[in-house]
Amino acid sequence: MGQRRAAQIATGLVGAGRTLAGVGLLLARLGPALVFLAHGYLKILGGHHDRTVALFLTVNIPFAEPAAWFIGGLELAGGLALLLGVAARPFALLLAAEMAVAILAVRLRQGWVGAAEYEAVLLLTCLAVALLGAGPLSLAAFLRRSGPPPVPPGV
Amino acid sequence: MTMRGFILAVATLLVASAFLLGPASALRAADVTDVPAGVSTAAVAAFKRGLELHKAGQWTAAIQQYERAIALGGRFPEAFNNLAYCYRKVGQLERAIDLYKTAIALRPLFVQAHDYLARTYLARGDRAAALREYEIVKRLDAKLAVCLWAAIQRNDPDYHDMPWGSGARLRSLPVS
Repeated sequence: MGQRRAAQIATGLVGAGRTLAGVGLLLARLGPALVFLAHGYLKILGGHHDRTVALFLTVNIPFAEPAAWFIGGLELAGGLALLLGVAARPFALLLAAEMAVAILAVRLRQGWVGAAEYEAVLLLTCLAVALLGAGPLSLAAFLRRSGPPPVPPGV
Repeated sequence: MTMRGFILAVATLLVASAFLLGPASALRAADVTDVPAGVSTAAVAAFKRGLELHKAGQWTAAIQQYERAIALGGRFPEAFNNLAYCYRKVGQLERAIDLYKTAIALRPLFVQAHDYLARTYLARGDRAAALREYEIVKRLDAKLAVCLWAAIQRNDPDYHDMPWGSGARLRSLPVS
């Protein structure tokens, strides 16, 4: 095996390295996906809407009522997007922004252990997904693979 | 991966996430417990002494015990909430407001602190601020909100007030 090929495997560009990198990205998506799905579900359908509005009023988030619906919808849709691997980059970026606001507006005043650490992990994981994309084990990649072959330019 | 395999994998993930929604709800409910982790036994003991004095209406002595609890590291919402209540009772409204805000910063959905803060604003003559807190209480506890609304309408902060303090269930837990 040539040195170039070995380097490509080690960096996850081809072969087993690529598969492992894909599984790694899938796991990185699954963590925040399951958290956001659960919390989005609670905010929209699980009876936590009023609690969310109360929280937003407490920390002076403007337009608390529509903002609570928006955030619940974002978490539900974003969780699903991360789970399936469709539009994962934009949703991961939006969820990372939400976590940044949560840390600054609520969690920092409560400390790190048992408070801001939780949102910080979600923020960093979402940023990683936003930077790396959904990876090969995603619906988007599957649809790309099963679609028609790309037409060469000028044909 | 075949189409069938991919659909099976996605369906498995969806079912797995549905099973996780139940435990997630339970975890969320556990978020609002009033048992803080990592508070020392000495701090809780001082807090409990403060609570007994609080219940007896001995506000100044209760203040001393609550201050001691906080100084010993008992920076939990109930300590600030009860201390604020005592300061309100001895007429130090600004100090009480600051302490209620600290309690709420530590636990944003602490409904009793929101209720008391509204009543303290009312005692200070700031009806608009009291109404802002009422909007929060209304979404967290409908019954409590009815009492608070009546107090605001009567312009009487002590109407249907609950003087017994919070945190009777507190216990110290080991530091993780």
